[in-house]
Amino acid sequence: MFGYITPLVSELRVREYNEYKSVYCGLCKELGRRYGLAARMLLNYDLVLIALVADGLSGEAPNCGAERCIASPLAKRPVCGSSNGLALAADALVLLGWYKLLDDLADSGPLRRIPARLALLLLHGAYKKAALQRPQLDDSFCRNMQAQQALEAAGCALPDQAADPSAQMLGTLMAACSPEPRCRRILYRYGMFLGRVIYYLDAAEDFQKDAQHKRYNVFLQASLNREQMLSRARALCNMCAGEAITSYRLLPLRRNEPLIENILCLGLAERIRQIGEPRKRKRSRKA
Amino acid sequence: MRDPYEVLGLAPGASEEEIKAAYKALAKKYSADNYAASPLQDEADQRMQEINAAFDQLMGAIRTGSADATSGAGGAGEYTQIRRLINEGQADEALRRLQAIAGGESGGEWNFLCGCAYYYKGWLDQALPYFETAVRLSPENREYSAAYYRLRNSAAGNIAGSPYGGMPQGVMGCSCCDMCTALMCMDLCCGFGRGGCC
Repeated sequence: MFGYITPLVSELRVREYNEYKSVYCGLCKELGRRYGLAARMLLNYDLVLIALVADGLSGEAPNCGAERCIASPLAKRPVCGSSNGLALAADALVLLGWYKLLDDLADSGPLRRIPARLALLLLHGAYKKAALQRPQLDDSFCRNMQAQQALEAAGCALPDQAADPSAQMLGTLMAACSPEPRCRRILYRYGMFLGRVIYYLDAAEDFQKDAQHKRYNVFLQASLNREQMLSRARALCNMCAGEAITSYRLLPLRRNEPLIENILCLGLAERIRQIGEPRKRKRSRKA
Repeated sequence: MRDPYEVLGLAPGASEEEIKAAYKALAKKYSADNYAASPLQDEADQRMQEINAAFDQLMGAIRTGSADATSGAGGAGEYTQIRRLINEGQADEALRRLQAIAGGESGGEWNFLCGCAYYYKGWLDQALPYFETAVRLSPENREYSAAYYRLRNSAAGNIAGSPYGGMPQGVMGCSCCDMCTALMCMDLCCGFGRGGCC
C-alpha cells in the first residue's frame, strides 16, 4: 500500500522540488542512522509527507547539506539532517514495513514466503527498536492489521468498512505529528481520510490481479465489473480526498505549506485520475 | 425553562419571520438603554437573557430542520441528543438510537443525522445517500444541502478545498473548454459581417 502520495513535480518550483528531494534523501539517511542498512530498503514516498507535516507544524527547519549516497555515488544530492519529523517518519516506516511483511507471509504461498521470512529476519532488530520508541503506533498498527485480516476473512463487501483499518492506522500516525490535542484531532481526521484514499487506490490497482488469483478484494466482493469498480473507486477517493484537504486546511502549519498543498491537491488528484493503472515504478508489491 | 414560544409571546409553530419580529420588538423593549442607572436593571437583564435564549432555541431548531420534528416520531429532544452523541464521537450509539426510531426514515432530520453518524466514522459511501434523501425531504435546509453538495461535488471531481477544482475527470457539467468554445462562438456571432461590436 505504498508510494501513492507524491507531489506533481511539474507544478513544483525548483526550490520546492529540491526541498522535497532533500527530505526524501534525509529520510533514507535517517533510516540508516537509526536502523542500519537493511531498513533503508523500506524507503518509500508516502512517509515523506509525515515528515513534512510534523516539521511543518513544529516549525523545525533541518540543516540541509549536499551528500553522496549508495544510490548516487558520484553526484552530491541535497540531503536534510535529523529532525523530529524525520525520526517519526523513519520509525513509522520500519513499523509499517514490518507489519506488511507479516501480512505477506500470511497471504502468500510456501515459495513466496522465503523472501518475506528472510526480510523479517533482517529487520527484527529494527522492529524491536522502533516498537520501543513508539509503543502507541506499534499497538495501533498491530491491532489494525489483525482487524484487516478479520474483515478479509469475513469477506467484507462494504468499501467503507473494509477501509477502516487503513484509515485508523494513518489517522493514528498522522496524529503523532503533533503533541497538541487540538492539532491531533484535526490530524487524525486528515490522516483517516488519506488512509481511505490509499486503500481504495490500492484495491483498484490490484483488482484484476486479485480476480485472477481469487484473492480478497473489496470491489470484487461487491461484485462490480472493472468499469463500475473504477467509477465507484474514483468517486470514493475524490470524496475522501476532499475531506482530507478541508481537514488539513485547519492545521496551523508554519513551514512546508506549498509542498503539502501540491501533494494533496495536485499529486493525489493526479493519482486518483490514473486510478486502476499500474504505477510505473512500483516500490513495493502488495500481496 | 419556559416554553420559548411563550417567552416571545407567540403561538407554537410561528414562522421564522414572526419569531424575528417578536424578538426585535421585545429586545427593544428590554434594551439596557431603557434601564440605565435604574435599580430594576437586573430584572431587565434577566428578561433579555430569557428572550435571547428563546430566540436562539427556536432559530436553531429552524436552521437544523428539527422544528417540524417536534410532533413527529422521535421528537426534537431525541434528535438533539443524537446530534450531541455524534459530536462526542459516539457515532455507532447514535446510529443504534436512530434505527430504534419508528418511521424516522420519512423525516429530513433523521436522514441527515444518519448521514452525519456515517460521516463521522469516515464512511462517506454510506453517508451520501442519507444526505441526498435529507435534501430531497427538506430542500430548504441549508445545513443538509451544504453537506450533500460538498460530498457530491467532490465525488464528481471538484474536490472540496482544492483550489484546482474542475480538472477534467470523466463527466463534468462545465469545463474551461466549454467556456472557451462558448466565448469563441459568441465572438463569431458578434463579429460576423459587422467588423466586431464587442
